[in-house]
Amino acid sequence: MGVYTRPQTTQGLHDTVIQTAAQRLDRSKYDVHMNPGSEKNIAVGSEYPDIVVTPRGANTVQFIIEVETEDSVSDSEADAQWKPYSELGGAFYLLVPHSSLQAARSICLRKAIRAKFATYWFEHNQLQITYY
Amino acid sequence: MDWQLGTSLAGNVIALGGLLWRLWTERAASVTVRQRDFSPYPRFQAEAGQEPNIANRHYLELELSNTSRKHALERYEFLVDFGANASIEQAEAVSKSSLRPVEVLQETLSSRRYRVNNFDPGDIVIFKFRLSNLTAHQCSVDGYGAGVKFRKVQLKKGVRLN
Repeated sequence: MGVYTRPQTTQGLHDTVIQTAAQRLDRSKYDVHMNPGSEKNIAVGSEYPDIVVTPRGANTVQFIIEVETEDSVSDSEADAQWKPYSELGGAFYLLVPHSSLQAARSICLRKAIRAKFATYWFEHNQLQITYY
Repeated sequence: MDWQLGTSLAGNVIALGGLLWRLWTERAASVTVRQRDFSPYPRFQAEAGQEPNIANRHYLELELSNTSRKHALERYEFLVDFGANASIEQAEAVSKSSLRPVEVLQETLSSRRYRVNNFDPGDIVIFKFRLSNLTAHQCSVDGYGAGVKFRKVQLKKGVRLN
């Protein structure tokens, strides 16, 4: 099962969302690790989720955040990444465009993937992120 | 006829087993409150002008977890009340499994009402309190979720609840 390769147009957005989401997490409580683009900075087992959050000073995975763009909210991405990431330990968040929330939810329900959801959208050119 | 009777009996046993399994996995969400630590500061004699009632000041940490196997609670309200004489000096609610902050719905000197959103099976929220004037050495907690009112639990000093 191949991992989806984003077109360059959405790759930029994907990496911007990763950077912004990581910056806004509370660094007094958490250590935040990122694997934007093709970077492989931190592994959980043999997987490289977009954002890995551990309690400050600890190595236990508390949250895994996977960022998707509209074109990557799909069954194949769910099989290739969401399912294995949701089983790594810690709470698994899917951070998707606000317009793709229902689609992501229904894929997870159908495939019995345990995920929490967060959405992003732009408001006055500012990226907004909400966790549910 | 015998084999028909046997088949029918086996079918009933399987159906009953299926029903029991469904009841077990779909039982109503239950939320437990577990007392994690309830240790008073070491007692000492306070001098005049020092902070009063230091002997009765406590840290209290409550763990709230959704122990259901299947039932997510979209909204769960949780009330902690330490009684009229107590003062909450500091309160903190930390979700171990959600990045969404726990909402504080109502604050009084001695109580807090919280709302935990999207409280999924296995999710845990830790509530930490620093208290003074906790003369009764007890608190009550009460939760409401999915239309179910959970039983009131009394936490008393030295009593371990699971």
